[in-house]
Amino acid sequence: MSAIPEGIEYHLPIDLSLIMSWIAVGIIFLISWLGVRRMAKVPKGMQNFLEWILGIIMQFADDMVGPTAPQYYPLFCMLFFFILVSNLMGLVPGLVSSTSRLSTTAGLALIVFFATHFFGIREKGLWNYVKRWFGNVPTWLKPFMFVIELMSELARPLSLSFRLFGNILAKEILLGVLALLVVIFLPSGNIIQECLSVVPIVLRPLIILLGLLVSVIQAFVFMILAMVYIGGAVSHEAH
Amino acid sequence: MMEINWVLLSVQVATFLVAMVIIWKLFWGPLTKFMQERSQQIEGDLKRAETGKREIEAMEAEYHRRLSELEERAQQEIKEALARGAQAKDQIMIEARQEAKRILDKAQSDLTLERERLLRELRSHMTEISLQAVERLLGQGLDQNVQKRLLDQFLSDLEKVRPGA
Repeated sequence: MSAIPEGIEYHLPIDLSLIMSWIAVGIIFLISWLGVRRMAKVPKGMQNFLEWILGIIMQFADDMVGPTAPQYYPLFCMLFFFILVSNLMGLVPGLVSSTSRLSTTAGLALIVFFATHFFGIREKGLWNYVKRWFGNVPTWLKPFMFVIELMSELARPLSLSFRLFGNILAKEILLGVLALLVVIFLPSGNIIQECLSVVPIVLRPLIILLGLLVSVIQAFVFMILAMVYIGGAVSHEAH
Repeated sequence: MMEINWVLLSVQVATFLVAMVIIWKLFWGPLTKFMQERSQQIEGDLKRAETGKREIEAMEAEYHRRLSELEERAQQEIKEALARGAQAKDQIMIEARQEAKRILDKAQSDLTLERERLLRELRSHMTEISLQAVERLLGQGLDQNVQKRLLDQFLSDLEKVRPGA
């Protein structure tokens, strides 16, 4: 049974979040196809929208990662679109955000984690990459610095995954609870409960608006943090 | 909800990565390439426009420079022409004066010669007339030498009384 009160039991042999991820990928596929099917030098409609979003993402990537940013564009763009569409799907009745499942957000965070270290080692070499974790401190402090840096690195995927998961799950639970309250209060026959049902009816659209905002912000935050981590790993500047 | 299903996580990761590669290859890659080409084209157009503007400005400056050069040259040539004209006028005047003087001198010379010739003729005629008059008065011929001496004396007296001599 779904833990989300609003959730619908589909009784599918495959996990619901995976199906929702596939739907999200399908939506991204559709948006992208609509955007590029008739590319014009003066963009209109979906091409304009897609160019706007991709332009913002690439600009942020250039600013944060530097000259090597173009090779990471696919990851940053896909992270943003996948998380945004997945988050927004939770606002549609009958659908669930795949990002409200820890397995999904942990998967995304692990992608960023491994990509960060892979690109960092590829860019600097293994020893130069690991060396930065010892910091510019006296020799006797270096082991402590290494442990602290290692913990910091390991905490990153945790914070990434739990931040997204918590925000989106909270939004879905809140929407579900409000819907459940209406379902419970309205047909109760109790005048007080019937009057109280007005509260979730009014609150739910407002929470949906809030959810819209949270969905965009969380997608943006996840992508920006991925840029910061990868930019820090591949950058040759002193830390 | 809070637990991690590693199989599900792996499939999610695979879904994400496969979708990322396909979508980038099919859609976003060509679109970003298209955007970059358009930006480069716009930058190229702007650079060409800037270059064209600079070329036009340079041509305009060259035009003004040549115009001022031509004006200066025209002024110089006008001055030179005026100077040459003035010089030619002076030369013509000098030559005209010299010619006039030459003509005048020649006329005076001719006049002098003519006067002398006329005087000589006059003297000769006067001599003859005088001799004839004397012969008539005396009724006889004079010695040739006496005639000549008397005639010269007469002419000499005549020149003394000739006005402007």
